Amino acid sequence: MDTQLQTVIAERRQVLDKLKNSLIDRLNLYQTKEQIDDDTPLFGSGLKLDSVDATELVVMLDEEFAVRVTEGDDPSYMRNVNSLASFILKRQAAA
Amino acid sequence: MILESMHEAAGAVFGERNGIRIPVHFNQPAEEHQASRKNILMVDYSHFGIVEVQGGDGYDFLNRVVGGDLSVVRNEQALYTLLLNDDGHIVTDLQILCDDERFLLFSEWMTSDALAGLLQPLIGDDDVQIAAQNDQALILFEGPYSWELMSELFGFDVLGLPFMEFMPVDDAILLRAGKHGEFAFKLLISKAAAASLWRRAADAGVKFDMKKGGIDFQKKSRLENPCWDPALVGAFSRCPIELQMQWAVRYDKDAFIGRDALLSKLEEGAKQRVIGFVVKGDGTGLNVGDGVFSGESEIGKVITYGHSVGVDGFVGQALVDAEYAYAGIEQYEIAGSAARVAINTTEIPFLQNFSFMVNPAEHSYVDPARPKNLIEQQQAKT
Repeated sequence: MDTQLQTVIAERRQVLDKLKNSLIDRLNLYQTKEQIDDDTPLFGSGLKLDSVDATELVVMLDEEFAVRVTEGDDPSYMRNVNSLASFILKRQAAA
Repeated sequence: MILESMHEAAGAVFGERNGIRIPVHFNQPAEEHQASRKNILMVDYSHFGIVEVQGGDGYDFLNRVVGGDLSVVRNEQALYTLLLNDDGHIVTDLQILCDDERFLLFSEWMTSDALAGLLQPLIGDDDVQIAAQNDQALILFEGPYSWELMSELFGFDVLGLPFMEFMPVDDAILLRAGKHGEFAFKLLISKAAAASLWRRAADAGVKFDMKKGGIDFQKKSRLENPCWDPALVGAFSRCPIELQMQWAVRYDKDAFIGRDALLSKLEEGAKQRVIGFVVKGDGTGLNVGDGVFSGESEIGKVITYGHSVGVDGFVGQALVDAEYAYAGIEQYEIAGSAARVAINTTEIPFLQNFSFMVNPAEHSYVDPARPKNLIEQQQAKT
């Protein structure tokens, strides 16, 4: 694996690990981070989060990742763990 | 008249699933797929296995057999989960309906007799009765406005029906559940009454531009919104960890079939995992089974592949060495028969489903006083 690829993967992995650990801690999920797949849906049949959890997610993004959500943001970033990670990485790259 | 005769009279093209003869399409499959994405598609799901589980130990029995946790569902709620074998491989996925004193199991991949036959030897000394429901049929209504048709057929209460819950309607059961990201309902109805209901729904569906369809629409729907489909991915993997389906099992239960095998695999670390990808440029020369490369190293295989109208490009899934299996990577290529083609790995599903743009409380396909969707609503404001 070349160095550039290693860096890209390490960055995403770091965000995914922190994100999964934060979800587990803040939302009292029973899983370990290894038991949460990257494309697990956040709502519906996936992690089964609700609208209250969605508010907690927005707070988590601000406090843990320094990412402020605005009204203009396409809410599809909340679809699954991976889309949330992509949203964080995009915001961090733009900062 | 029975459903099959009605389909034959309507010119359906038939195929077979689970040994059951059912329509694979009536019109062009692409048109039927688009109806499920933009309007409503009605499909005969008679290939589904339907089994009733009753008895004093019914709950305990099922909960130690299936991967999911039945304690989270109440009466008139349903659970999507997996039935695994001792090796932790998927046998079938299941929708389990908690219906008062009984559970109803829907399987897309086994007949009622086969599912009942699989469960029966697992009962042991428990007080459990298992019965194949061979007199029942399932009809699917899928699409962004399926809720509006259901409301017209069965009353306004349908509008308040949450995802994975069901309600009695007439002499049938209506479950709100789908696999492809759109509003979807499954109607459980006796085979004797199914043809009459099909005809009634077809008439009521005209103003919604509903289409009658066969199961071929699933090929495109499951390319865009992947789900468990052994016909597509079963040859490559049946492991919930590799296929990113761990959400359908509940590890903190005391027991379920395949639990120990899954936990051992997690302990070892999965060797490969599935990722989504979008082709950069022309993907016409690629196929399922082609190798995925990072530089000169082959890191995996394409397991689903095709063109998506919704994405406006070629998309697919690949089973890739775990250390490479991440979204957001732009360095990989697929080796087609003629050339290598660059891809971007991405999160799954690929599609921003149109149903997210439709709110039953505010929109309507047929009421001119209301906007059809969020886009129309926003345009009207500006």
